[in-house]
Amino acid sequence: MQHETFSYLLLSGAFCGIMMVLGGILLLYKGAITLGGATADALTVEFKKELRITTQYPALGIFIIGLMFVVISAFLGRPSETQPFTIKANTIGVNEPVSVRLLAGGWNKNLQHTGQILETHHPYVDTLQIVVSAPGYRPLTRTIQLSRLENGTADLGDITLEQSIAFENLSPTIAPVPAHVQLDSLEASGQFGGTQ
Amino acid sequence: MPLFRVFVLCLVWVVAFPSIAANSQAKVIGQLLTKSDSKPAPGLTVSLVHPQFGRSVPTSSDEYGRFSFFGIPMDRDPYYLEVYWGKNLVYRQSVFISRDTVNMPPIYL
Repeated sequence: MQHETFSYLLLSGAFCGIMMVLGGILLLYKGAITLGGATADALTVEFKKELRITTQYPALGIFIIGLMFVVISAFLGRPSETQPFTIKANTIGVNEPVSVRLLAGGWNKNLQHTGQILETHHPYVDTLQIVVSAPGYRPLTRTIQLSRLENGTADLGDITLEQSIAFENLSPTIAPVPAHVQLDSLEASGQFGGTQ
Repeated sequence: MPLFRVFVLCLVWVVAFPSIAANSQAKVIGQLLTKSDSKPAPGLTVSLVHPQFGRSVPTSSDEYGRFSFFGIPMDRDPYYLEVYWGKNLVYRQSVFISRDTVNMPPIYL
């Protein structure tokens, strides 16, 4: 609810800014204000005797203030970015290519619904699970908190994976693909679906 | 005019039906075991490939050999489940995904 109120405030601010700019254009068109000549009396804005802004073209203030409303609303309403971070580790005794997966936790609220579900969630990713695995080795899971990383680096130190099976233990079974069927290569992964 | 209405209805149906079908998504669950002694096969890369949709987000089997996918579009054409040891393909089989949850029988490698 608070986020929705803030969104309405941002939209209101942007709307006011646009109205000020359009209103200024309308007043210019009507001749109520002009930008052509400087006025004898300057317009001065002073804040706590520390900041003073003076202009000989008061009409410009309408456009500048309106533009400020729009810019500030756009700046405050921009999507938040997740900061990048680095994972650092050293695997010991692993003779297969190592892969790393990141898993984020779920988000839930303890709300009760009476048939209709209408919730707004603002996912904040802070806790992540890092899963280090290699073919035939039992995966290793480490949990990190992004807000507690030092220098944006998750240092997992030395990692030892326990081998469970070897490649020689497998008996490949590869079903043929019909000639008219073209399958994307492994490098083209990620076009649909999700995993847990 | 009635002919035009029929045409519009057919057009809407042709456009909407694939979208409706694509919006039906399934969960696929499976497990990898070794053929020799039925031990779990962990750390193998598993993915689903479809001739039209492409290749899914890959996953890797956990310490019990289990893997799962969600958000897989249902389709009447078969998917191909592929298992890789690194970059080596060790298993491929076709699988039909036409219901909400597909619990695959254990895959023996």
